[in-house]
Amino acid sequence: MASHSSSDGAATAAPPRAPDLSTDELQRYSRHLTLPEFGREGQEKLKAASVLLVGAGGLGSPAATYLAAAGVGKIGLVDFDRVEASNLQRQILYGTSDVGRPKLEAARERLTDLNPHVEVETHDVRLTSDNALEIIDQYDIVADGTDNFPTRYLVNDACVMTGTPNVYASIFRFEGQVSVFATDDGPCYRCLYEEPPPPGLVPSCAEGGVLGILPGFIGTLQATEVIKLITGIGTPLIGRLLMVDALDMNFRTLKVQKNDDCPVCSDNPTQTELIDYEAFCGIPSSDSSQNGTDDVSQIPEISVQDLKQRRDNGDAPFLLDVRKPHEADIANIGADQLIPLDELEDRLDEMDAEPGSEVVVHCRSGGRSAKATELLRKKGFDAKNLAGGTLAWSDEVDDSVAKY
Amino acid sequence: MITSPSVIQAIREHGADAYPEEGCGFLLGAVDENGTNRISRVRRVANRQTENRERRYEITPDDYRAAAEEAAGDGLDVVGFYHSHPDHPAEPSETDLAEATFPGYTYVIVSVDDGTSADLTAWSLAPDRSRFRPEEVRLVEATASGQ
Amino acid sequence: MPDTQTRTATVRIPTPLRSYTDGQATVEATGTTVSDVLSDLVQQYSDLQSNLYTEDGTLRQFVNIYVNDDDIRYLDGPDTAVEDGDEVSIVPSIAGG
Repeated sequence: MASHSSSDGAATAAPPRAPDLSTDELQRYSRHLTLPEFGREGQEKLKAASVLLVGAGGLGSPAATYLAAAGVGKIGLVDFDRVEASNLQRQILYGTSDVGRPKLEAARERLTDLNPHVEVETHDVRLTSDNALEIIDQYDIVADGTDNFPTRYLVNDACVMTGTPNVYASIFRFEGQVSVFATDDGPCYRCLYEEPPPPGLVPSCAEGGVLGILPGFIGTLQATEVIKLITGIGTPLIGRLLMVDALDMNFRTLKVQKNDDCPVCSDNPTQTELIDYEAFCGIPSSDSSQNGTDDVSQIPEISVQDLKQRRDNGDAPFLLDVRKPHEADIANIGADQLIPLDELEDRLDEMDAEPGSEVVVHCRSGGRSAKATELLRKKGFDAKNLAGGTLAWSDEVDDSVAKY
Repeated sequence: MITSPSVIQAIREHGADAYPEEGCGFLLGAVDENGTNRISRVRRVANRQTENRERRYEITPDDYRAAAEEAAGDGLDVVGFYHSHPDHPAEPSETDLAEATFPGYTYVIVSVDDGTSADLTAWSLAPDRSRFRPEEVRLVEATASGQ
Repeated sequence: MPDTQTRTATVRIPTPLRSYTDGQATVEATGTTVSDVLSDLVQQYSDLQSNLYTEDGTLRQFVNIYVNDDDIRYLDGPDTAVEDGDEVSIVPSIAGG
């Protein structure tokens, strides 16, 4: 089915083989089999199908769980993270005893226990322009639950190029979106979002926060669309963007039209190969930072251990926290002052340090504080970035500081 | 203009809610380094016309100041306005041109067809004030995460 | 004695006009009345002239001027006195069909 064989985009093509359902499977799926619209045929289509979940996190957890329970024949997972305590608030594939383990190892165990009739394939890699086509081409359908824009554009383009429908979902704070892209006649992600937002404009989940239950139901909506595509029942979200607001509990759909000038999915695409998606999204690639050609690598740093040492020696530099105030309530490493990054430029005159003096800047992981350090240096401060932020402090200096 | 699908949806809904009268409001956001208006959210405002609200809308300077002040609290500016055209195409009318303010503001118009929102277009006043020029509506995703 | 000493006010520039004020949201301008302050403003940034005034030199109809929180229409109009440190705002009325 990944080979352009679907006829109308909504229903993927007939299964390449008609898998027999064992007695055990017939019992297990009996509530499906008694649905007239679904029946044995629908169940056999599920068993014949393969689905790749990109990201085994907040969205991937419920999606993988329900797709495995439903009896999808082969489920692929792409992820390279380990389970962290702060994942457990929403990533229901994992338990407390999994903290520190590779996600895919824990996910495979859980899904195989849930349904041993499902083949679980793990891809313990970062999806890149070098491997995406090869991996995605092995599957009938992709469910995109990635947490960053470069990967999202990469998944879209690779789906268009391999003819693989892409069931997309994303979440932020209290809102979620779901749609189906890259079917034969429908629009793709790029038809809707021609370009990514400027880097730095959109905070990550860690910075912006997310209501834990939100990916629970958005990921379930995503899995619902996957099952509809496989079985050919109902009307999938092709050409429609579902927008969910959990606070008002509003579900709205917006029409999405195929862009006749889309660079990847139009009849005359201007881009026929995968590109450098980090550059496309305006993010300096990891290569350039290794070469020291981007600004971040030139920002002076201080390690958490060096800061600790200087404090112990009574030589503590001025420490500025550039996180939001509520973050300091979660994890505090004794900063002298807190001014959030986005207010820093306007509030420089409030700094309890003079230009020319030494200032160490910290945040959660070192990203925002790098930007603040750069800004302060331009304004004449001898600023240094605390490498690794409160996370590194918790790991290396004081584990009573919470990691979030 | 560059905005998110939820902003587009909010304008459409206001147009439908206000039908058969014209609904209007503010586009709140910022001007980016290319001079493009990036709209983060909208703010509804009462149509202050005292009569013929089916064909006319008005936003007072006091309403403008209140919206600008509220937006400033979130680091945003008023970068434009929207209004609906009940049972009328989504194109600037003669009145829209006669009443136009500064070039640089984005004017969004949504047509509402028998109570249901239809076309949505964006415009800006030409510097010589002779006409409205169409503005491209580009969408970016405001939500990033799947994790 | 009549007070004609020049005052400096801060003029708030609406977002779309900031491209004519080198991107500045506020501009310092001097004068004893609103009219003087605005003249000084367009003297400094001449591209503002056609945006604020019609060809015959009157303020465009949709342009409202506030001194601090008061619409000058309810004060002395363009002759409204300006004190040092006053904030003068240019606020549009929006209308259409």
